[in-house]
Amino acid sequence: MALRELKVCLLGDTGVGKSSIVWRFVEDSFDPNINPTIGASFMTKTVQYQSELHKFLIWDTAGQERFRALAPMYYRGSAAAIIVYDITKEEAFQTLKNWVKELRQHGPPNIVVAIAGNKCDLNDAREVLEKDAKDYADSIHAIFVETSAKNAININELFAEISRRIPTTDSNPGSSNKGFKLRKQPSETKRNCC
Amino acid sequence: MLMISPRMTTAQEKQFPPSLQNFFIYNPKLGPREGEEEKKILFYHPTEVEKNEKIRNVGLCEAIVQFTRTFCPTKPAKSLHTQKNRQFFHEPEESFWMVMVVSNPIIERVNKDGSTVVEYQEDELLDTVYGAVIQQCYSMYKLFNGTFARSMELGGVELLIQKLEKFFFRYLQTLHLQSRDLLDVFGGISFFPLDKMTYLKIQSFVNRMEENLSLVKYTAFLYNDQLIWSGLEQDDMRILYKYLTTSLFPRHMEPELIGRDSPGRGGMTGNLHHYGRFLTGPSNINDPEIPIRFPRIFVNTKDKYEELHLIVYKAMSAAVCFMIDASVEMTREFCQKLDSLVGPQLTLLASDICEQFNTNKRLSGPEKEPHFKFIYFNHMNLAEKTTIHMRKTASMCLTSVHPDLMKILGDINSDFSRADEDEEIIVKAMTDYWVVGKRSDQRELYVILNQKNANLIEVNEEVKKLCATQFNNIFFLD
Amino acid sequence: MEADVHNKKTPWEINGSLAPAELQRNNRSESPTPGLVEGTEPGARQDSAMFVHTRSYEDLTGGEEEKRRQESDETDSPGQSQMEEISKDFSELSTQLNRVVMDEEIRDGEVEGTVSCRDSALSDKEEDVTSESWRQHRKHVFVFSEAGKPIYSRYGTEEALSTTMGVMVALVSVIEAGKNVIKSIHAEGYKVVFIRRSPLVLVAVARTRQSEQEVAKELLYIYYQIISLLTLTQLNRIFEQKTNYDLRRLLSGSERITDNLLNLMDRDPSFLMCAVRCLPLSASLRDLISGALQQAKDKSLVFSILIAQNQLVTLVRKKDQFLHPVDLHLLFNLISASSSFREGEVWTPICLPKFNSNGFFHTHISYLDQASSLCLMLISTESEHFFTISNCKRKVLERLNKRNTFQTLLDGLQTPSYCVSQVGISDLRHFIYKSRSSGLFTSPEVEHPYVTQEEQERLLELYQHLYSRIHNSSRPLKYIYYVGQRENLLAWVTSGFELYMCFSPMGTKTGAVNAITKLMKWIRKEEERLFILNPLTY
Repeated sequence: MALRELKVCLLGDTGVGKSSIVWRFVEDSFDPNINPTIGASFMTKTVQYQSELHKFLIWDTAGQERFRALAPMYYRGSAAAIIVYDITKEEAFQTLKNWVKELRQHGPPNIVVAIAGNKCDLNDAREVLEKDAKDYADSIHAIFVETSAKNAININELFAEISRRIPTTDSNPGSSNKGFKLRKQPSETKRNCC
Repeated sequence: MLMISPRMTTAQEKQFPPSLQNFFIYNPKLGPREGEEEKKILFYHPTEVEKNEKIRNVGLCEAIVQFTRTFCPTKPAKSLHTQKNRQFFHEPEESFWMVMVVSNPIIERVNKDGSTVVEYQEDELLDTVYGAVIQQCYSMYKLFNGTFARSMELGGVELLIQKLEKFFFRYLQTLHLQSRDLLDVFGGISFFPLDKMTYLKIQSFVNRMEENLSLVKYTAFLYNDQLIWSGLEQDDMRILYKYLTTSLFPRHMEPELIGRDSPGRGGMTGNLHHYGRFLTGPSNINDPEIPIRFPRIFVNTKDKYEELHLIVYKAMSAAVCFMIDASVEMTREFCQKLDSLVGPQLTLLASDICEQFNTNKRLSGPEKEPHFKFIYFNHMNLAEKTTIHMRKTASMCLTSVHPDLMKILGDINSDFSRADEDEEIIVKAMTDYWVVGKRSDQRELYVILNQKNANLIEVNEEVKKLCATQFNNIFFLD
Repeated sequence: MEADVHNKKTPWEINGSLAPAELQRNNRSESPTPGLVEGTEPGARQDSAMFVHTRSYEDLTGGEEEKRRQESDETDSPGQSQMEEISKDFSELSTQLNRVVMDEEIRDGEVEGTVSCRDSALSDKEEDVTSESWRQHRKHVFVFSEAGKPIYSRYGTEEALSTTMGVMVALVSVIEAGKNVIKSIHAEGYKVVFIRRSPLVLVAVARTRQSEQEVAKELLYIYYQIISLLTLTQLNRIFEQKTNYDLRRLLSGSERITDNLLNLMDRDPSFLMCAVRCLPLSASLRDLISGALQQAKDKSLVFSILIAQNQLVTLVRKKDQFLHPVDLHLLFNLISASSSFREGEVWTPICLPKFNSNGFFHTHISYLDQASSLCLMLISTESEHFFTISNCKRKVLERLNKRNTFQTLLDGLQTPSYCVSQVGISDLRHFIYKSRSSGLFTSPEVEHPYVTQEEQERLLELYQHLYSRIHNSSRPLKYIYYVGQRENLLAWVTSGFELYMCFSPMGTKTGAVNAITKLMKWIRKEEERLFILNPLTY
């Protein structure tokens, strides 16, 4: 069976559930007391998609402000970016828009963007309407799905949709089989990340 | 404000000992509103300090006290450590705060390029020692002036300010901050060791005197600057003893010891059976021009609040304090009666004690220089005994050991005071001296041993020996 | 005359009965046990050390930084004038303080409102800061900017404590306005210790028996912890641009790391000893592991560190590069503070403040085995080298698996420490032995009667107290023996080693003296297992 490597990074505010989504996808587990990610965490997971094996190389980035400047290092090499917000936090949805803007300006040209409205199990505390988010996603041609890492809702579907949308190997220069190397940012010559 | 001239240690180095920077007393309730801060200040040394600076320093103390109440409402700050000084806070009466600012010792070095570097020795002052000094300041003030609150009741703020200025103007000059040590923490009383017979003799003397001089309310008897008998409460005796031994007695150095009779006071010169003289009161009781006035002291201020005349009368090495209610007017006749009654009897008693003391000394054999020195203190009766301090004078108390060793004793003492438990601490200093501290049943013993090559077991044996030999006959009250 | 008595340069004795002795304060002198001079004591490295010489650690609380700051104060830096502004109306502070109390009362009401929406995991922080239980905490720690903006508080929210921190900053600035520096405030049963490391001020309120210096040392650790997240360069730049910046924005999520560091310092003697504890392992096994780390090298790698349960398994370093124990302690803390390294491979910037406070290293952090506590840290200078370094990790694992080393190591982790009974000294309950030249220490499991956390912290406090007495900055000691109701303690410091022992109160002085000899022999015999004698470089 053919093996394709798909590089994905997760972006979004701290506490929206990026790591929980990854854990659910990779380990099929959930920890309500998960600690905030430090720097970025790298994980892989191979799934069958149609007649191919898709190996997801996932960068789970930290959402805290002090790691903000590190983000380009991760999305620049990615074929897809999952931007996560928390449906109970209006503010997180606003940051999402900034991420989209940034990806459009500095991200790889053909990057697949997926928007995940996480914590959909907390419908009672909802602050972001599904329709508003959906409309916004459509306007930028992004994948949209509401998820719950806690209740394992739409997690696998999210990644399956990314599998479907990412162009095949030969048309995607970002995913040669050698394993990607993070490109050096010309402006960032100093070792300081921020 | 350095009153002590710098001491040259090396060509390029000057040392300055700790000194008094500020001393002030305030009551926050006296100027509670903005713009009235100056009214809080009851006393400020040095007086020349500019008004705004006074207000600022008092404000800082208030702020610190208030700030620490955030963390413990009942136990506010006792001291503030800064790079240049330490400030000690004491609230002896409700809302009355005394603050003493002591500069850290300084070493001033001159670099090769001629610039000077000042090094503040921040870890040299012991909080326990200077905390005790500021408490002593209050106790001494209270002994001669009564409480702050009582003065306020009698004559308002004006009277209190007047009293404070009069007292502290002189008293602060006698603080000698650089020679304070563990003994100040104890504030103990040295008791004169003597046999039962002599002790009974003294007791019956005191009884006789109190019988004949019915005005006398309290009596205290001392020999060689050491206490033998006292009718006062312990705390009152403790501060009176401090006054007698560090201030009054040293001012009247024993003329009789060098074979001369006392001039003036007692009159009766040339009488071999009467060496008595007054250390307080009129300089000549037979001179009708001189008014009969004795210093007043205040005792039992917590309950009875007694004001007394203090008569100190001395013959040779024996001294008696007679205390008489202040409401009684002192007359020339009374003084003459006292002098003629007490003078001969005290002279006789003094030579008895002296003789007996010398006999005991002979019996115990020639004094060998021991290779240890010690301090003992008993919290129950305030008895203290030291072979470290050579002699107390008005100005200082000389110690025979290096100040750093004295500070180690102070450290051990503060370790002891953390818990009310029997403990023992043995340390070896960088100079290889061993220091042993023992606390047992309210008694503390500190020994400094000069046995550099000894090990822990040998040091322990030495201290055991010392306890067996020294302490059986010294602590007659035990 | 009196001056002479107090003159340090003259012998302390005047009457001659106690012969004069020369002061040798700076000379921690000959080791009484022959052959135990520095560098040859048990645990001393045979060739090179892997840490910066640990002596340099001792200027941690003092010294240079502070002096430099004072110099700049003298020249009336902008910071100074700003401080003066704050303190301008200080003469009225006392009057204001009464208002502060009122403010706090009003605030209480507000706080309750905000508390409810805070993360439930932060329940420690939600405490009522006027309650007795809040006051009674053993050690409070506050961090704020020089402008008085709250940054961190160990107990209670920064919002609820902003007035308290405002008063603290006022105290600091008023005393600085008088060209002086506030150090500490002492009251019965507690002390308040201040340190200022521009642009931050750190304050602790401690009810422990630690000396002012020891508490200040812990505050410095907190300061370094913050630097390790941000670098000093970034910290300075932020506050230069905006003096009233709310640093909590940048530090969000790191409270847990700081909390953990404080908890660790309350229990782990590593911080007190300024030294690192090694996981006991046979020398051959440790050499194999070190070899595996050494082989998996990369140009950009500076340190490869394998740890387990806050103990060092091994450390391989680039030639001529030394790690400071403080930096290693911060790494230990980072690992123990967060479960987020458990899954996958983490790649994160870390500043090692003692190595270089101005730049980040990029660290690859992963557990070698998900179930074990073996954590590998590969510290690189290149932010883009993740995959190269990840490959190094793979090589380490391969090598370890090859000769079944890994399984032996995992077996060794089953007994990560040892019992004091193995030494065979009847009244000995616990000890700490530190080799001064290698910066490593060893210590057995804490056992009966120190079973509860409270008792364990009390034992550490006893050691802290001994440590502060024997290392007193103005009057250090060589030797302490303490006899108490609950235990007897011994401390002995020579140029080569430091030894702290805890005996049952039934123990005698003779027993203690004999125990020293016996313990030293035992440590010599076990030194290969207890210490890292052959540190490697790439």
